[in-house]
Amino acid sequence: MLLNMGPQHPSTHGVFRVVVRTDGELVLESESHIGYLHRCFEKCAEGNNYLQVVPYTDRMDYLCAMMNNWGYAAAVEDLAGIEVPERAEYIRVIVAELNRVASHLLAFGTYGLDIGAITPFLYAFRDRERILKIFEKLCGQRLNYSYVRVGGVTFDMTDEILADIEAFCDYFDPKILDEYDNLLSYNGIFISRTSNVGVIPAELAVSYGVTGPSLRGSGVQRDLRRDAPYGIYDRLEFDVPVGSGEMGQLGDCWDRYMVRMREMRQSIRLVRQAVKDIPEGPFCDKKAYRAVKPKAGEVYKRVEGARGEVGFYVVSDGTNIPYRVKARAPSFCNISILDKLTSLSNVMLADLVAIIGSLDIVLGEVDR
Amino acid sequence: MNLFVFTNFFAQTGKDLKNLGDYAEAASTKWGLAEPGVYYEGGLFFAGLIKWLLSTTEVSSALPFAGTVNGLMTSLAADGSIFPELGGLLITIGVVFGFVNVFAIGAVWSERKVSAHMQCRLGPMEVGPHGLLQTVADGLKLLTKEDIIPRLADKPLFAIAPAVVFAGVLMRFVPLPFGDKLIASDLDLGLFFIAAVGAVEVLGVIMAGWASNNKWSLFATIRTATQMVSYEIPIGIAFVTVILCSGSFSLMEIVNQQGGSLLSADDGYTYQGWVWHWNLFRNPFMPILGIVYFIASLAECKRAPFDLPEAESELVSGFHTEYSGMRFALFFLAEYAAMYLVAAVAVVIFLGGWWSGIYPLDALGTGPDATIYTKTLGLLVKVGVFLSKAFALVFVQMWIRWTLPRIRLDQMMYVCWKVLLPISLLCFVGSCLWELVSGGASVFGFGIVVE
Amino acid sequence: MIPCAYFMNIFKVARSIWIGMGITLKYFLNHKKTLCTIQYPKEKDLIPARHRGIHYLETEKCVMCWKCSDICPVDCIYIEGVRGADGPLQGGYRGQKATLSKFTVDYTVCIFCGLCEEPCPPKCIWLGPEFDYHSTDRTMMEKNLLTDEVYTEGDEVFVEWARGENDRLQEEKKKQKEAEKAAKEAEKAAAAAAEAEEEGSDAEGESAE
Repeated sequence: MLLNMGPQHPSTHGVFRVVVRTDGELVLESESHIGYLHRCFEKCAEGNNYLQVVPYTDRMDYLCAMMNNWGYAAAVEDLAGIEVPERAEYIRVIVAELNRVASHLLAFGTYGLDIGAITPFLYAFRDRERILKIFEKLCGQRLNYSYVRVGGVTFDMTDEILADIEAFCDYFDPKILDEYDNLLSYNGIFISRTSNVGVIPAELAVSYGVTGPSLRGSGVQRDLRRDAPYGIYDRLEFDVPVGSGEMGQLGDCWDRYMVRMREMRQSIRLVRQAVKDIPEGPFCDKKAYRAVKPKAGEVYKRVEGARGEVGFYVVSDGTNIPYRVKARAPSFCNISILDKLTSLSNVMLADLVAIIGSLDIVLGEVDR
Repeated sequence: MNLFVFTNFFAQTGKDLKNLGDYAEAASTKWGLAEPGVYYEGGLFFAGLIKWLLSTTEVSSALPFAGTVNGLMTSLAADGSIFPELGGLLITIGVVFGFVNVFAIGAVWSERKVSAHMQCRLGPMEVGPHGLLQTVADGLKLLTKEDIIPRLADKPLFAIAPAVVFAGVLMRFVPLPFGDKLIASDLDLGLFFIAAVGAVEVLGVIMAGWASNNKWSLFATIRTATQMVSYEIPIGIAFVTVILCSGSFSLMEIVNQQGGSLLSADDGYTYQGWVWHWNLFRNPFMPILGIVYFIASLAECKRAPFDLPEAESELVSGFHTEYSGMRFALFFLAEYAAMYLVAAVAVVIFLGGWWSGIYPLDALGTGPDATIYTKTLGLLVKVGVFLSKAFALVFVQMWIRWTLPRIRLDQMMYVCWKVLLPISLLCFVGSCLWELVSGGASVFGFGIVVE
Repeated sequence: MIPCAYFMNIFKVARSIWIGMGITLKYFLNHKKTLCTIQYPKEKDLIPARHRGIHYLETEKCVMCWKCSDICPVDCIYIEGVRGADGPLQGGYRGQKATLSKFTVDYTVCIFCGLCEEPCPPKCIWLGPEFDYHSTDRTMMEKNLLTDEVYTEGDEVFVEWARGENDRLQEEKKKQKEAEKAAKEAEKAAAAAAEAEEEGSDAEGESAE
């Protein structure tokens, strides 16, 4: 039977179409169609100057917008030789890690919805709301921040906001995370739905360009914050959780999901360190921010986003409008492995939903 | 002495219905050893009520045709040959249908409130105080919606399917008691009837999924067919075990065995009913069987974690995706009616029915010196106990739905055939042996002692 | 023989389900304390100071540098006018440094990025706390920052005229009513006078006879 899991579907995490050929409940092969959310980000970037591109980068992966902003800002700073003050670097780490927690919370909640558990979604959003309130206090927006800009950040982080962040960390870790584990992660039905499902062998993942928690779930130790540190990550202490085949085969959906849950704990640890050590000083290189005009050249800068390696390849021709901005979106490469997975092993239709959920894609990023 | 005369109160055909006190001495009915005419117990109660109303009230003479109407009412009341069989049953089924509707309204509201409170939010608050009228508003909305039938759908099947599902559920309410002697029809084969008629519901769901002409609905249909038919087996084995221990298919008899009938020794039975006399504690296999029955009944109702037929995140709405308006409302009603049904059956066969387990409460309204008022009070207490137990089980069903994720098709088959079926068979064999060895006694004290 | 793993599996699953159900029951029983939603719009949340909502313009300070319009990534700010505080005024605003005849933001396009705030030299445009607005028509989504009204100028003129029309119609109706009343009274008076004449003539006639 040829089944169309159309662009409108409750569990494709966006406008994503998969044409599936099934034999009863068993999926024989699948064909993904993307492009339903293409908004010509790269073309827009060629028409706006370096400052005006920042809101566009927000809307690529709208769930971890800070990291997209950071990747683009770091690329332009490299090109133009702009020095970022240290306070700005600490603030960038804090907001990026908080954004990672928010993004993983959403991944956790919606994954529960895909599997059928409705309550963890509401709990995840209750906690995500606290993070979004902090962000609203900080920069005025809840989702598309445009906060990290070339030369630093837009607004300063006040002591009140730092106190809020500390309070959130104390509230969230470890009590709430333990609750999530008891409710969903170690639930027998959830384990039987996600373990031994969608196993991605490590070499296959690397060859398809999968990065982020999906790659680490297959046991590959690869995290840009540790292997190619940017900002001040080399001064901070954190572990990189990696899947270990605890509940089934190595690289199954449960491993990828558990890597995200453990990453949340490490992010809180990073935030706590950064909040403790944040120095005083300027939060932005204002002169550079006003007039960004890098010399001609090109740069590829990558950061560790919530879904994997977010890369920006910026080509400048000496004017204040970039010649070319190419964004490497992690979800694009992650989702490309779906068709291979369905042809590799016996996947049932319910498993297809579980696999898409565990890859944690955002269609804004896939299509840009 | 009679258990409870109130139902027979008005149920004397052809007699003069003027003096209430005259009927305190009416013939008693013995449960289980009833004569054929007494099968329509509940029907007689309601029929008698109507007859009493008809014979004692009068339409005021100011209205037109008052004389004719009064004459008609009196003659109908006097010659009650139609009522006891057909009319009583119709009226009782009407009462049951009304209860099902009211329960569905309340259950939808409470499901939304229960889910909201478990999820740190409020639920419906706008319509009515605390959203009590929300379901009524939803029902009105569904009534006024356009009746959409897809162009390529199989029209007759599409139209009939919701009715078949609802009829299948409603029919199972016939042998179900609501309280002492409040039953539409105390069938001799009550439990068997409930198990057998459940198959009609499966048929309706399959019809709905197939007639929708929608591949996703077809998926749901196939899943439903496997699920509902498979899980009828552990339920059936649970029923068989209970029937074995109780010696009767009739639900009223099963309940009466678990409580104290407080009959005198002239019937041959004497016992008092406490909580530990319920079937759940009868022998060490019964609690396990109770849990098996509860899980299997969740699957029969297509409730989470077995809600594959309407897997919301995969199949949008499963077999009722293409339905809108009142047809969808019928499916919805059927689901909540089925929830109550399986809960009530669990209460009847395991949890002692309307016996509260506390002797003074159960004894209210019985005994030689009971007045009309204590008898009414006793009836109400028993109805209240039965309904609270059933609603508690419905709450547990809702609680499970909002906690657990959904199970996959092959895992569901595993659970049914490799876990529930062996365990239920083991319990059945164990109960057989227990009955043989102990001679029908239960763990805590005696079950039936025949003197 | 039945392997031990079978029963251990059942036990583990049952235990995990039991723990999970305990968590939801805990939330259910303490729902008053764990409630985290508010009933909008009866209860509203506090809007923080940096919230990026609808724009506000301090029109006296504006110097017509067009910097906010240039930096906008989606080109949603439309400005017209002249520098200098004595320019021709056509339904606009005469500020200290400039005369603005049009300053609108199109909210079907604006992305609330806040980029227009920084380049402004006198810091007179900023994004405020208002976020809930709506209209039934696309043209009404352009906010005229000069007057802080939702309507554009043409709409305002129309509304004024319409109100004027209404008042005029009311006046006309009142006048008509009064005229009718006066006419009726005149009729009555005429009829009474005619009767009185008749009677008078009758009386005269009688007295004459």
